[in-house]
Amino acid sequence: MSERSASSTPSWFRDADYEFAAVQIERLRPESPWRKARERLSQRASVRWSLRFLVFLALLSFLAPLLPLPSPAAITVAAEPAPPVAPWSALGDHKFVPEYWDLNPLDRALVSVRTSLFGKWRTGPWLGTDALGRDVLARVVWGSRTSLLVALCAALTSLVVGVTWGALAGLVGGRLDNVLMRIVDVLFAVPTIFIVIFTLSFLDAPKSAVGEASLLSREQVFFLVVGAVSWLSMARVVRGQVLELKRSAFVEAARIAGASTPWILRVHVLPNVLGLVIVNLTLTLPSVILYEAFLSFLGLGVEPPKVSWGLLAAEGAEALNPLESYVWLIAAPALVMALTLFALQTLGDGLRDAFGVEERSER
Amino acid sequence: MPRPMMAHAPAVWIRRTLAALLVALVVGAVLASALGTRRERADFVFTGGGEVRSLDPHAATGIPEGRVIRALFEGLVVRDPQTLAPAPGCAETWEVSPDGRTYTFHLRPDARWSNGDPVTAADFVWSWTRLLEPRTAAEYAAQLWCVEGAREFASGGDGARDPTLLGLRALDERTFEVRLAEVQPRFLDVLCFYAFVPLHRASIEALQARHPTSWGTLWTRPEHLVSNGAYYLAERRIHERIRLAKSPHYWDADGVAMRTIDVLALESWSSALNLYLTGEIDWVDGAIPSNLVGQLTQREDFRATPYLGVYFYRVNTTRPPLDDVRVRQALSRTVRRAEITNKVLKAGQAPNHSFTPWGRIGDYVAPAMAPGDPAAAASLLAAAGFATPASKGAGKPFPKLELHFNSSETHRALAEVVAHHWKQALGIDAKLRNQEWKAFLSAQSSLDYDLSRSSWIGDYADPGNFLEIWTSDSPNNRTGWKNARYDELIARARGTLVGAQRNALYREAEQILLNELPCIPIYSYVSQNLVNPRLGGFDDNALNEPSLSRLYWRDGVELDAARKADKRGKKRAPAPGPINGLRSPRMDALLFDASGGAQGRPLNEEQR
Amino acid sequence: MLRFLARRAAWFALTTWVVITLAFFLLRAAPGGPFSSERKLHPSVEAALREQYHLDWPLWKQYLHTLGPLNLDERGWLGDGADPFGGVLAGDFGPSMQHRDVSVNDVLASSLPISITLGSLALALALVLGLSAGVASAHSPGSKLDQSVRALATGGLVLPNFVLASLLVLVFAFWIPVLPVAGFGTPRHLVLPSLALALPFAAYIARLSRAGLLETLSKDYIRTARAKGASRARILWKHAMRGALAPVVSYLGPAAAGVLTGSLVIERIFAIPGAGTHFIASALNRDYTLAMGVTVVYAVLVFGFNTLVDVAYTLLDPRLDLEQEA
Repeated sequence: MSERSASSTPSWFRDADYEFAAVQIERLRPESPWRKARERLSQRASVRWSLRFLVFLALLSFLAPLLPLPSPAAITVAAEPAPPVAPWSALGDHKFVPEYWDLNPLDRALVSVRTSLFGKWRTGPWLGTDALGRDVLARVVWGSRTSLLVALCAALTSLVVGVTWGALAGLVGGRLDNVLMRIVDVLFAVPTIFIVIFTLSFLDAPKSAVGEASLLSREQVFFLVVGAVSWLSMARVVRGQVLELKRSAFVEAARIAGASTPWILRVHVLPNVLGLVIVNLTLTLPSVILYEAFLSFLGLGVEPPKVSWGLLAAEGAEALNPLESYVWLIAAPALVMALTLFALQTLGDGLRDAFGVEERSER
Repeated sequence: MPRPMMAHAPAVWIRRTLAALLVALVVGAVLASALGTRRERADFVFTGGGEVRSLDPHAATGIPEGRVIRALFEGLVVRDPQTLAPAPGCAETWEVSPDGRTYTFHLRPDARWSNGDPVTAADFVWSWTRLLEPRTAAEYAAQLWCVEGAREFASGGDGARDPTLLGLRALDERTFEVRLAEVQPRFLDVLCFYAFVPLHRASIEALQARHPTSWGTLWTRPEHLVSNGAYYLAERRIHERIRLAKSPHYWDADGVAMRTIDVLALESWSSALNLYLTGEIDWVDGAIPSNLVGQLTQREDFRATPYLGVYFYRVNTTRPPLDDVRVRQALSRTVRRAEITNKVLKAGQAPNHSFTPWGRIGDYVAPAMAPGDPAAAASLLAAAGFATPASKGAGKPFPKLELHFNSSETHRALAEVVAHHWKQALGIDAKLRNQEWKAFLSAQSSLDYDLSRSSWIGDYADPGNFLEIWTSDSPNNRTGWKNARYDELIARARGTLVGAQRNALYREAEQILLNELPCIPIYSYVSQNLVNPRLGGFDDNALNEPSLSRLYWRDGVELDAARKADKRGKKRAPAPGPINGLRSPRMDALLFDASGGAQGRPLNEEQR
Repeated sequence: MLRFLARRAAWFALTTWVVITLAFFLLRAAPGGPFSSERKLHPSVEAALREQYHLDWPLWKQYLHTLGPLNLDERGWLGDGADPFGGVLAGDFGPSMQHRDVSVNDVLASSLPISITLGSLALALALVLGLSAGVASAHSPGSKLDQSVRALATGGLVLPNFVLASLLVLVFAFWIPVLPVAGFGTPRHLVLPSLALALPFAAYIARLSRAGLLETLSKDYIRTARAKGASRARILWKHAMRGALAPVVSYLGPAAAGVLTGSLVIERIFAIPGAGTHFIASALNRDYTLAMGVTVVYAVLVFGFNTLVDVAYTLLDPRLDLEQEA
């Protein structure tokens, strides 16, 4: 495309015209979306707080093995779930037992740092314990790892696959666009939950001997499947935006002025699409976290003794009954989940305003 | 391409249409639900889980199905709801020949179908032939293979089958003779099962002739089903409810109190509990979530009774190191069963130290396996050459085990606890694998597991029912375990008529099983029923099979008396229902007599 | 418009075929079959069952049999010379393999109306609640009302629907006992489930319509209308609503799919005999025919609703050209 437009520049086009065109392009082109976005974002307190909360949560979740929490899998077979205890009345005790599932090397290292730092000291049951005597606080913190990881994975897939797909369709256009978008339509009509159930059953692959590792863990299946379905709406949104940009005045002007395609992509299309992508991501994350909860409710959640927020919420929802409500079992996961999603929403709203992206539905 | 800007017309139009559509949707939805089904509450409502798979007694196999089918149909013999012993049902009396091979049943003269036809011996011959017919694909047909010619009939080709060679004969209208090819000491117990009820031949065949392209299941619909039990099928709404109504033609209709019974299909136990607490359901049967056990077991309306079921882990004996019996024993001896039943399950389950649930069935007393002992277990493991927490690095490290279970709250909690026990006592890591049901079963039957959660529920009270699954050729073995002596003992017991001798053979066999441990028994089941305290005639038994036709509502006087007699000292629970009770005509007549005529208590005044 | 519909129909056919094929092969490839159970069937019984349902056929033949109105049966079941199963394209899904008394068509006929009733009620409720909340908060942006509506709307989006449903039951059936806890049959039974199903979507619609309204309100023609002295309410409802409806309408497609998925949970919690329960159960039970039935119905509903939404969308916004899009 660039070759053609360059060679087709008529000979009577003078340098002055180039200058004029350059000035026009500068006027048509919005000021850098990034700088503008940063300015607008920093003005809003709610966005700042949301961002802080999310960063804090991410750190907490990443550093979970390092914290002096009880082990989330350590069972003390108690008779009843125990209610929360205020930190000032029971700060902690020295009964930590390092009981975990298969941790990866990094987490194992973190755990050993924890033991050397805090020894056997652990926090008290500040958020209560569940029916198997496991600490709810520890489970919520460790559960955040699964939920956030699933969300991030989905985000990554929708970033890589969805953006490529949508951009390709939008940029090339024509027949390819039509085919790519119809594929998205068809995939939209296939019930996701169906795919999830079968992927889960396939990946319980047979193994021949004791001790042999199975192919993929349940979480990895989640990551795959949830990622595989979350890119669809991203592809649509990106394609729409690319089409709009292609038709926009400043891209037209740049093209007339003889700008090369890569230059147009880099300077005009990419920054404008990126804003939208980021906004869309902040909206994908909550829906993925809720989807994980939905799967847990159906009994398709992570494998014990691992935990996720969805699992905790599903277990906790059982405790909501007129006979005896163990409120803390549902309150803790529900609250932290709500706060996270709330922060993500606020951040998304803020980003949307900052990038000047219209609120639109996922189509 | 600029298009002429359209005026407001389409927008107004679409807005109006949208609004109209909205209104139509809401009104339609509300009307649909309002007009749909308004029905009165049945006299008695219960739930035992999800939707029944089938009402065809030959196709059904489950427990929820059994409750409905036993209310609809009545076999030759029925289980006494208190003792579970075979009692007269459709057959008034019967004789057994001294060699135990010929059974002659005399049907009741007043046994009738719900359309008024008499129940005849020919009905039984036809129904049992249908059951044995391979095309019916009835799971319980194999239980009748002890009948003369049955095995050949069931395995013969389409042309080779001859029903006249079967040992089933209608000697006359009301005399039914069964000849057995091999001795079956518990034949009458087998016959209590619901697969052996009679079916109404004329209606089934007429329907099939009229609708040849149907799948042959039309006859189980309410408008077609003809049954011979205390109830007939009044209504069936898939995945919602089955309504049973009292059959006027039932021979003991005078002894039936509940005029209508609703069986609800409920997937979630929480919603069943909510419905129970608001008085919409009178009986809920189902495992109680661990969160609620503590609370519910305190209530008078919670009834837990020893149940003929055992919870155990299958061990894949074909995989090293589980092929080493010492390893299996070590695993079994470190499971703290009492802790599981007392601290985790808490509903009254008992730790199981034999494969037979509750350690005994009737007069059979099971041997006990080696007691739990972590130290002994560790030395067993060390003897097998593995490192233990105490061995200070000697021995090879134990490979990582996988413990399979199907998705369920209770299985998960239990697996977590057992894995915890093994980790603590033996330092063995067990990875828990939560599988969806069919993948779980598929892995189990193809021996693609290390340890797999299992359970076994008896069909009738007999140790053979439990021990026979461990023979080498049993499709339910699924552990790869084979023991020639065990097979021989079980085969001999099967052919032994005398109870004491049979029990001795079973005892010896079970002792082998408990030494070899292809399975790790964990606990014995209890039935977990929430029953409206006002309900009378609800018999607790080991199969959790109360007879629906004996149920009635107690009046206030009787309820108070029953509560006074209850020595468990539990918390009172609300007892909704007719405050004046609802009794069968026969009970009413007795009461009427006892109270000396017209001054008796008010009868049958339903006030809900 | 006609060309658009014709193209959509072609894509619809393709989509249905893809869904049928995918469902067919996924189901057969998954471990375990419809007849595996904890108590293993005797081999002869299992063989008889497989024969009845033609699972003994080669896969391609089963596939054609499932797919279409092809008479592949030499003989029917229990009745000779009969062909009891027409195939999906003939609108006959065959007999259910788990619930052996009933055909898939029976199951769908009894459960689908219930699910559609609940779903449309929830969608309508979501629209009504969402639009009114959106308008209310757009009326005076930044006010207390706006802020509380926005907070509530975000609240609807941050909790899993089963938590929401359990809370609703606890509050409106036990603490303030005004509504039934579960079941189906009267309009009162529908209140809680449709509310629990609608809330997240209402919340999203409120956000969409608020943003849409605020954007339209800043347009020139609104300024003109205001200059002419129209009241704020009139401007909101008469003039701005049109522009603001577009994103809401286009959201209805995904919302309908979401309501369908959400009903899986809600129907279970409220014991509603809709199609949602079968969705999970049939896949888990490997009930090949029933799973095929619910999957195809789901795909048809989602696709049909999306087409409807696209048509409505172009009517709202004449600048969009359906033919271009398709």
